[in-house]
Parts: sequence; C-alpha cells; structure tokens
Amino acid sequence: MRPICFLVLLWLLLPPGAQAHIGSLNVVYESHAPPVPVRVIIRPPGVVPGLATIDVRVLTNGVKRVTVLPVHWRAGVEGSPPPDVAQPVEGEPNLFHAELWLMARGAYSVHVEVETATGTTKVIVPVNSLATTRLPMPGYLSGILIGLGVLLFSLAVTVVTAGVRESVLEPGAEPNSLRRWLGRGAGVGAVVLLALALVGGRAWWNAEDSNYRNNKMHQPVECDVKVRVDDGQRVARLTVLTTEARGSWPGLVPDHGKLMHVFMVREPQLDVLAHLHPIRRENRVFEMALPPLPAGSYRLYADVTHETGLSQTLTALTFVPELVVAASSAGDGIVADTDDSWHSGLPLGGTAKRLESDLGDGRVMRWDGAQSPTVGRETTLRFTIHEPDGSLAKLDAYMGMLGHAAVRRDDGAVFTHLHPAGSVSVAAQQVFQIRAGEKPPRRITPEMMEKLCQPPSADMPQQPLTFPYEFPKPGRYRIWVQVKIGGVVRTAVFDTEVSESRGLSVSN
Amino acid sequence: MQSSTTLGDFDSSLSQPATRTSLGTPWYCQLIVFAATCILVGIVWDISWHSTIGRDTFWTPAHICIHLGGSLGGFICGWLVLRATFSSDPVVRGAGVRVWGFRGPLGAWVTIWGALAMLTSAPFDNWWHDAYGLDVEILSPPHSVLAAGMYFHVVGGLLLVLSYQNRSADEQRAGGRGLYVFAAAILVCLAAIMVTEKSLPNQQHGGLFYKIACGVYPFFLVAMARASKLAWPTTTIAGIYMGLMCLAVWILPLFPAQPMLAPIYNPVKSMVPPAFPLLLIVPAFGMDLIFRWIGRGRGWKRDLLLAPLLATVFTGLFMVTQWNFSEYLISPAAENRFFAGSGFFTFVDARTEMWNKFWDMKTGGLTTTSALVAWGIALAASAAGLAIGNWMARVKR
Repeated sequence: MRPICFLVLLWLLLPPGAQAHIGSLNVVYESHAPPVPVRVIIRPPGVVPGLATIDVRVLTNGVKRVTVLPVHWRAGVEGSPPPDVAQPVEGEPNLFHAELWLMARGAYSVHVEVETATGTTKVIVPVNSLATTRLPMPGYLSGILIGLGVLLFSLAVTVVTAGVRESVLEPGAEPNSLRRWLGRGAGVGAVVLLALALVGGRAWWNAEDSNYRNNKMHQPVECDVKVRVDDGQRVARLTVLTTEARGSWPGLVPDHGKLMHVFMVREPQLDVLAHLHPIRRENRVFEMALPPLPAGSYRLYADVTHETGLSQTLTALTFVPELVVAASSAGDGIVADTDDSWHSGLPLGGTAKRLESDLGDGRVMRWDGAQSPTVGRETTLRFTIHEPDGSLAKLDAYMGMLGHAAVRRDDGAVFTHLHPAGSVSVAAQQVFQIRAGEKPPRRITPEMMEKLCQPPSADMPQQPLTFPYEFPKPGRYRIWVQVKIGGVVRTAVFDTEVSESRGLSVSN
Repeated sequence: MQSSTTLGDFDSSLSQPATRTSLGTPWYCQLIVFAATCILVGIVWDISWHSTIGRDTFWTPAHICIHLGGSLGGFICGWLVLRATFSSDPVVRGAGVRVWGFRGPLGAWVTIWGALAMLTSAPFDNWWHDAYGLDVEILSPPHSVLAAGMYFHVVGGLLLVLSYQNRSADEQRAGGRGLYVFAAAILVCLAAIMVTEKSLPNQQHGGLFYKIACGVYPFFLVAMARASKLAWPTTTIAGIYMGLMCLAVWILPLFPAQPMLAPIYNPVKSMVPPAFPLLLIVPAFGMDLIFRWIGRGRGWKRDLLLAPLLATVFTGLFMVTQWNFSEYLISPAAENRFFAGSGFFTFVDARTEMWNKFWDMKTGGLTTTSALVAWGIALAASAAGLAIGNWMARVKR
C-alpha cells in the first residue's frame, strides 16, 4: 500500500538530526537539592502533536503528591493548563508516571512538583518538542486495512449495481433486462469512481507524507566546518547554514559561560576527543584554535542553546590536516579558550573488560557498579577517581560542573553530552527558570544567565561522580568522562556494549 | 396512521401495529435517524472538545456518541438485512435489493457500508496520530474515510425513510415525510461541517467561500427537496439545519470547561460553540418559490429551466444575505449569547485585530469573476441535485 521500505531507507540515510543530542529526544534530569532529591525522565513522542511520557523517581520516601505541568516557551506558565497528578507505578516504590501532550513544535519545559512529608521541591526540566520520527505501518495493520478496504470497495460496487438495478422497482418486482444492464453499467462506473478515489487518496497520502518529511519533521540545521592553517596555527571555522526552509536561528544564550560547546571525535577510531569552545566571529560564524590533534577526519558536535530554550546539536564532518610548521610566538592567532581540553588514546576495539582508565600522574578513574541496564531504561553511570595512593581525588569544578561526559555510539547514531544533572541543557533550564518568574523579561541576557550559574555545592559529596542516563539504542559505545583535578582537565575513556536484552557490560 | 393502503400485500409487514409507532413510521426508521443524529451531535461535540479542552482519547464522550450512532445504525441495518434475507414472507423479501445473496433495503446496505467505513477509520486514524501527530488538520485521509462513513451512514438512513415515504401513494399524508426532511437537514449539517474551515464568518467576503458554498448547498438542498413531499421542503430543510446548528451555538457555552493542553493563547471558560450557521433559509425560500412556480412535475425540459433558475436564485440571495450578515457577525455587536460572534475561536487562537476583520481580502476577495464562477458551480450543483433528486423520488426499496 505504501512504499514503506523506501521511506524507511530514506530516513536511515538522512544525516543525524540537529536535536539536543543525537539519536534521541529523551531527557534525563537529576537534582539532589534539598528537600527532595528527584530524577525525571521525559520521553517525547517524536511527532507533534504527540503524547510524551514522564517518569518521576523520588529519591526519598514519604511522597504525598507529584504533579507535572508542560509549559510552552512562547505561552509561558499563564498559557498552561492545570498540572496533572502523576500516578504511582505499581511495584516500583517512589516512581510516578504521567503522560503529557506536547501540542506545538519548539521548546517546552516540564514543571515537576514533588510534595513530601519533609517539604516540596519544584524542578524545571527543558525538553524539545520536535517531529523526528516517521512511523512505518505495522504489517498486521496493513493487512487489516487492506482487508477492510477490499471489503468496502467490493461492497460499494455491489450495492451501487443492486441499487440501480432494483431500488426504484415496486417491492417484489423483478428487474427487466434494461435495468440489469443499467445496474452493470453503474457498477462499472462505481469501479472507475472508486479507483479514481483510491488513486487520489494515495496521491493525497503521499503528499501529506512528503509534506511531513519536508516541512514538519525537524530539519537539522546544517553547518560547514573548514580547517585552515594561519601562521602555523590550525583554525576551524564553523559556519551555520540556515535557510528559511531549514529552520530559523534565534539568538543564543551561554551554557555555563560558553555560547557553543564543540566536541570533535576522530573517525572511525574514536581515539581522539577534543572539547572546545569557539568564539563568535559573526552571528552564525564561529572560530576556534585547534589543539595539537593528530591529523584525520573528525566528526564535530556543536551544542548550542537558543533564547527560546531550544537546544540543538549541530554536526559536521571535517578533515584536520597535519601541522607542519609550529606557530610563531608573535602571531596574531586565535587564543584558545582556557577551558578547552583534548585527549588522545586507544582506538575503539577489543573485548577484554576494563573498569579503569588511566588519568595520568598515577591517577585512575573506575567505573563502579557496571550493572546491566537495558536500552530505554534509566541507569546511573557511576565513577570514582583515585589518587595514586588509592584515596579519592578532590575534584575542581570544570565549567561549573564536577564532570562532563560524552557518550557516542561507534557509528555516530547516538551522541550525548552529559552532566551530573543529566542530559538536559543547563542553559535551557535557566532560560525557563527566568521565564517562569513573576515578571518574565522580553529578552534573555547573558547577565541574567550568569546570575543563575551556581558552582557545585560544597555540602554535596563529590564522589562517586554520577551521570543519570538512558541508552536510546543498542550497540557499541565509547564514553569519555572529563574531570578537573589540580587545575588540569583529565579525560577517562570507557567502551561498552549495550544490548537490547542482555543489558550493559563494560569492556576495554 | 395508515399510509400503505395502495401498496396492498407488499407493505403488509410494515402495516403491522408492532412495527409502527404513533408517528406513523416504523421504529427502525426512527432509530436510524436517531443514530444519524447521534453522529451529528458527536461531531459537533468533538470539534468543540478539540477547540476547548484539546486533550483527546478514543473514549471521549463525543467519540462515544459518534460510534454509538455508527454501531446502532450498523446493527439495525444488519438486522434488516438478515430479516429480509431469511424471512419466509415473500413480501418482506421483496422489499429489498440483492447483494451477495442477501436481501435488504438499499438504505440498509448503504448504512452498513458507512458503519464499516467508520470502523475502518478508527485503527487508521490511530496510526495516523502516532505517525504524523494528533489531528494536525481536520481533513486527513483517515478523517476522510470517517467522514465518508458518517455521510453514507446518514444517506442510508435517509434512503430507508425515503423508500418508506415513496411507497405511499398519498402525497399529502405520506409517512416519514417529516423524518425524511430531518435526515436531509442532518446531511446538510454534515456538509456544512466538512467545509467549516473555509466558511468562517471572517472568510465570507472571499471568493473561495462562495465557490465552495455554491458547490455544496444547492446540490444538497435541490436533491433533498426534489424527493420531499412537503410543501416547502427546501425552506424546511434549511430551517432545521439552522435550528440544529443554533442549538449547538446556544447550548455548548452553557457548559464550563477549560483547556487542558499547552500552549493556551485564548483561555476559554466554557465549551467553544461553532460559528453561527449560514442564513441558508433565505436562498432556500427563494428556491422553494421557484419550485412552486415551475411546478413539481419532472422531465428534462423542466429541469433544464429549473437548474439555471435555482442556481441564480441561490447564488444571488446567498451572496447578498451572507455578505451583509457576516459584516455583523465579525463586529463587536455580535459578541452576545445569541450570535456568539467570535466565540468559535479555539484555545490556541490568540486574540488579535484579525478576529474582527475579513481575511485574505487582498488576494482572495469576492470579485465579479469569482462570483460568475460561483454561479457556474451552483448551476452544475443544481443540475446534479435535480438528477439525484429525481432518482431519490423513485426509490421504493
């Protein structure tokens, strides 16, 4: 009935979407702030309008009530309905579930309020509402619809034939030859009309499908990255290629002080990672000095957050040439951001278990409790960082966080930038926090964002370093975890295999 | 009331006291029209639900009302087919048409087809929501299947009542005359709902609105009136259409409700009504005058004269009436319980000055050319209506 296989193939061939992270719209957010620690997982439907599911896991007892409220960025809290009460999940203590309609495209925030015996906590979780999926029709449904269609077609033709042949006759009278022929003629006419209706319906369906894919599905904002060598310095120039048809480009807001966070991963080995922060040259042009990375093909992931609260990850493939001449000391080159970091290590491969990663200077990072979570289920990636003497290392804040993690599937179908608070964009959360105030401003300024940037609380335990996450797809993953110790950024690397049924295993 | 004296034995089964009601029509005719009414009420309710509350499941009261009507009609007509097929009474068997070895009234078969189409649309629409999003547009392929199902469900009921009416030789006292025009008005309501997105008061100075209206309403009014045995059929049908839609305009806002989906740009406090109905009663009265002037007889020569006259009267009166009435409807003066002015705007429609203006006037305003095209469309619709109406007037099974 539909060229499903072709369309699915077409969808698979599309470049990775410019979503907040690649491969999944799901967001995981965890807050340990008193009085009620809570973890929220939102799974958007992938179509708009559509039904998102929300799980709220309260990390304490005595829960009285959990409510969830979707807030669209443009309409604000006053343009929202009364909150929904999340229902407890049977057999899962302190887990609550709700479903919410996301009716419009763009940025939403979900206000989660948890009322317990010890107090009430309210968290704002940003989520992108985008059409990213195109659902093929299941075989059984195709079969049912084709069967019903054949029945309707043949019944219509037969009824028209019978109606013209007999309906105007007196009851009991038999149709004469003329009426029989008229009936047959009407039947043929009905076949032609219904066939035309089917052809028209098919064309209409195809047009709707094409319109959905071309105009309603989220179109990745493309970017072009070129690396040039200026006075012995390699400079990557990133140009955002937006057009009217491929999405607008609202103003950007800084995410822990940076307008853009770029991760560069060398392909296909995944042996090199750079975490860079370009400077803006023009509205849509960014430049960054590259660290001493080995030459090769690199996949770039550029995280940005718009003042609407929408966060996206732009992707591009570029080639970094070999650096043959060192930079002159008196050059007018670009000064690299002080928070830039990079790491070069072993390529992805091998199957032996390794629960440790060398951080240099005798320090190691261990992946603790590598349970076997399944795809699509929340998990906690838990790490401890040890000094050479085995004691726990003291972590400095790295861009306002105790750690950053980058998760990538070997084929690039999944990429996520994680913080201890989860996969949400902190900047988007701040934007919604500002907008939820009593007098929401018309414009969000960097100063407003800066006021909300709080360093990790000294009262909270630093270790183990945890990242709540939910693997969206099975496959082989590499995870880079970055921490700052003694003013130096250290990067640990872990490889893992995530399967649909057998869960997670950790390997080297 | 006995109305089948001239049909002799063939209508004896319908003359049984157990199958007649005090209204003079068999119980199944009344139930089938009740089912059609359920479908209409359900549709109006569902649109109001989407405009007011927004949150949607298969089990909303409006959906239940629609599918109650669909299944009720389907079961009744299924029973009629089984009764006609397996009855040992040749009279009952003779009052049906043969389909796949079964016998049943033509209207029953059409209603069964409609009920099956409605059934088919449910899983199709459910998948469509998952694949492309919930009801982004009213007109979608699965909604069209549902609409076709509802239409033919009502058409089937209409034919069932019509065949009963047509079997009566007494023109003035034919059973089912009232039920027939009521069912016809339901069809006109459904037609109006299908084109509601292009018929809002703010669009009633546009050429497209008049082209659509001239294609839809003359066809239904002429066809239904042609087969009616009332003295003023077109006026009656248009009057019932207006009455039913006015009831929706007046009753729905009596129920408090609030939007349950974000974003909300228009915080409505009660169920959103449809826009005030079109003043079809004015052109319908003119059409009845033409029918009465030309006479009720049939024949292609008479129809050749009737079609352009009906088209001209409808187009002229409709344009003059609706053009001026819409100016009132979009004005602040219409913001009252009776006309419900801008009350049809949904919870996602932010109030702007456009609520009180005509839309697309620069590119799509009514011009002489578009008015002539509308008349041409009305001519074709009237001619088609006459042809269908002539056939409907003869349906006896």
